[in-house]
Amino acid sequence: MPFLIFSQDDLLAEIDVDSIQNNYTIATFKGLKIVNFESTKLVAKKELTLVVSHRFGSIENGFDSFFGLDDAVTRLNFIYGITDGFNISVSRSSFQKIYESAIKYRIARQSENGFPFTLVGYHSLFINTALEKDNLPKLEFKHRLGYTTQLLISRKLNTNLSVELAPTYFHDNYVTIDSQDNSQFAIGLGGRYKLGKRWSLNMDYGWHWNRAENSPFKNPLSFGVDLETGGHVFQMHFTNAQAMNTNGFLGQATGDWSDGNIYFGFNLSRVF
Amino acid sequence: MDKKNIILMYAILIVLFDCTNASENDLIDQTEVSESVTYIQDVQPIINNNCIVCHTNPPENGAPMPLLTYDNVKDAVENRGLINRISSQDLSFLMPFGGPRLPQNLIDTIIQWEADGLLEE
Repeated sequence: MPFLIFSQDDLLAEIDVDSIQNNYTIATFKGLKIVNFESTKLVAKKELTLVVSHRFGSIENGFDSFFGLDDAVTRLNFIYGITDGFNISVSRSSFQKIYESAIKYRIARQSENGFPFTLVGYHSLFINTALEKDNLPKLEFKHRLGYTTQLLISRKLNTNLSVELAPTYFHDNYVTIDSQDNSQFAIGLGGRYKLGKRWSLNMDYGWHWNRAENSPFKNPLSFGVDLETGGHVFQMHFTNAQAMNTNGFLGQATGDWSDGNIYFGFNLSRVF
Repeated sequence: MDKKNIILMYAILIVLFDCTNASENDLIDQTEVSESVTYIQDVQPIINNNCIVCHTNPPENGAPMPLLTYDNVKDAVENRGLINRISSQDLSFLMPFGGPRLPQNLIDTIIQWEADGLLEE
């Protein structure tokens, strides 16, 4: 019995030491994504995380497609931590059969009496394998490619509220709308409000700066909740974008909140 | 691999492929649609390239009906809203499912086919 008591003291002492040495702000975001946008969280060194995402079809079709269950798109995303501050990822999405690979790295970290923001860089390259030469006779491999470059700036304002700003440049080598610039700019706005020990309310919005006037696509707006269970973060949300890659949800969101044309979705992340 | 190698790899990839600026009009054939559109000549190739992966017989991946024959396709245009499904901008309603939307010239071909009376040949 005395031994057990002693060992508990020991653990408590370690916790104290740790919190004195490290004054970095922790848990700004609990998921690797806010809803659609990348958060400033990274995967730890030598850890592999799988994020499985689904976006169902439009809920406005009701029971005909069981509120979108029949029309789901899926993305499997593996993220590996080379170091605590440098991650690589590969993913495949059933939305236009897109393969994507990305790097994500931390530039600066918010700390209690130090730098006020966490800065993270994110770059990705994708290949759209759904484009068909039969339909587009002059299609070449380069037309399948697209790029994203993003700076993620986050700040945990207090225990409960974290916010993020994400200036984004993205380029699609092929766009369907003839008057749309292939190079596109957007600003992402996101936040997380903690409602309890295990759950929080999340939202993000993508403000596209140079969308073509006749474009049928909309800015993506999403609301959701994060639910933490042991080893999992479960994010459930409503969004008007069905695509899950950055170029997809910023450039090709088709839903519309004003007429109920929105999609239910979730991101489930599992650390191995 | 360390950080520098990976950043270098990405830089090389981006330089290698470079950015191009293409849109739908750049990649389609700009030929005029023939006098009158027929199933054998114009429609069947579009259906075969895009639809019969799932709309085969028996249909796969939850597709409700085949699109293998002239009668199948005619029925889908007349009774199943095929033209609405392929021309929708709502990605969760659009066919082929998951996108991308067919190039507009191919959609127009099928609309023209209906207007011409759904001729077989």
